[in-house]
Amino acid sequence: MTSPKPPTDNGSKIWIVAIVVVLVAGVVAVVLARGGSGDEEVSGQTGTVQVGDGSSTTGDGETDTTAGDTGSAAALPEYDATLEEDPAVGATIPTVTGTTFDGDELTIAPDGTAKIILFVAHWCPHCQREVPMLKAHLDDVPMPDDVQLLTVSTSVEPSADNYPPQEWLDRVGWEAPTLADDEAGTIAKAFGLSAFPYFVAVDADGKVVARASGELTAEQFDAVVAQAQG
Amino acid sequence: MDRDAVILFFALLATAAQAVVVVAIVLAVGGRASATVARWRDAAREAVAPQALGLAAGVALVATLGSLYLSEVADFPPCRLCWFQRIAMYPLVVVLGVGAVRRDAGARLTGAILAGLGACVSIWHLLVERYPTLESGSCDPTNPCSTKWVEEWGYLTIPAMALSGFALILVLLAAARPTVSPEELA
Repeated sequence: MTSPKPPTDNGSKIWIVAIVVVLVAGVVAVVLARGGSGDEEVSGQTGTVQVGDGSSTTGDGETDTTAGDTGSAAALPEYDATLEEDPAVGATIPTVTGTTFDGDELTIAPDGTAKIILFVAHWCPHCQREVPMLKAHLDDVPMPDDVQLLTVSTSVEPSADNYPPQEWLDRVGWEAPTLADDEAGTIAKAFGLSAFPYFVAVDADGKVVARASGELTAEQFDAVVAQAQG
Repeated sequence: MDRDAVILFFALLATAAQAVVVVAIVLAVGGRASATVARWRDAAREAVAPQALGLAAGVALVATLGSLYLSEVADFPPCRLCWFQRIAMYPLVVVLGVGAVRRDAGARLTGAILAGLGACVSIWHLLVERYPTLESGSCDPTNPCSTKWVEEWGYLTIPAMALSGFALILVLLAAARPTVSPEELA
């Protein structure tokens, strides 16, 4: 006859193992993360923006009220892809002035040149797919001489994926002049952005001829360029 | 506390959870083919079963605290799919915690349903991260579900961590044996 096994204290052992795993994970995390934060802010990724001919915003999006607005074109209505007719078509684009990532001044204005304005966010996976696709397409089929391609980098978030935007666009080989929006997304709001990526096609008179959001195919992009060209 | 360290801490725990899940699957599948593996499986289950509900509640608690840290301290706004996963994970702390204290067999089924639903949402969220066009052709500027706020070791994003937690809870619930029947409870 065999005697019953004495009860083992497996319950305590399992909880001790679980607690040790948690403690070891904590220690390892602290040691490995000591190297520093991977999402430190990089200067120049957002800029100081001036909307119209006078009112300006600082890098954090606060409006500088010392400058007066001289009555340039109003902000475009927010883009609604579900509408059959875009109410912004025919409206003159607002004049916006800011800086590139390198600090050079850049103005987007109704200046007599047709243009495509592409709004991108570094963290947006659709932008991360669209920009390299357009880069490859433009290497094969460059923009026509009479249509300018401009980019606005907006909605910058240092904690999010693919930061900083300047490094991303450089890595892709994106050559279009890029305006750094402020932290409040003032330029994006002025152009009625509602989703990324966002395209605004402007004719030589400075009037909106088409807007689109989301990933465009190369053919769709060419069609938008043709609309801007008139 | 340093945000990177906390995120890495939860990533390490998620990796440990994945390791446990893989071992459990190997034991479960291998146990059908090999008598030796079957013995290991039975021994492991024997050891874990009495504590499984409590451990599962602990996993849910850690996942809940991690989720709250990411949104309330790290300031990563939860997207729509994150909220669905929260809806599944947060109640598990109470359901499994109370079940562990009362040794209530009914908690296993309720917990498994919640964890299963949460795991399904996590898998869909992972697919949306990998293939953004599954949900939409564009990014909502406010907070699209395709944005990766965290990505450790090239694959461990927030829904991947959530899926690790749900999977471990399901494994623990599979191992759990009720010590009190519903009839006895009644």
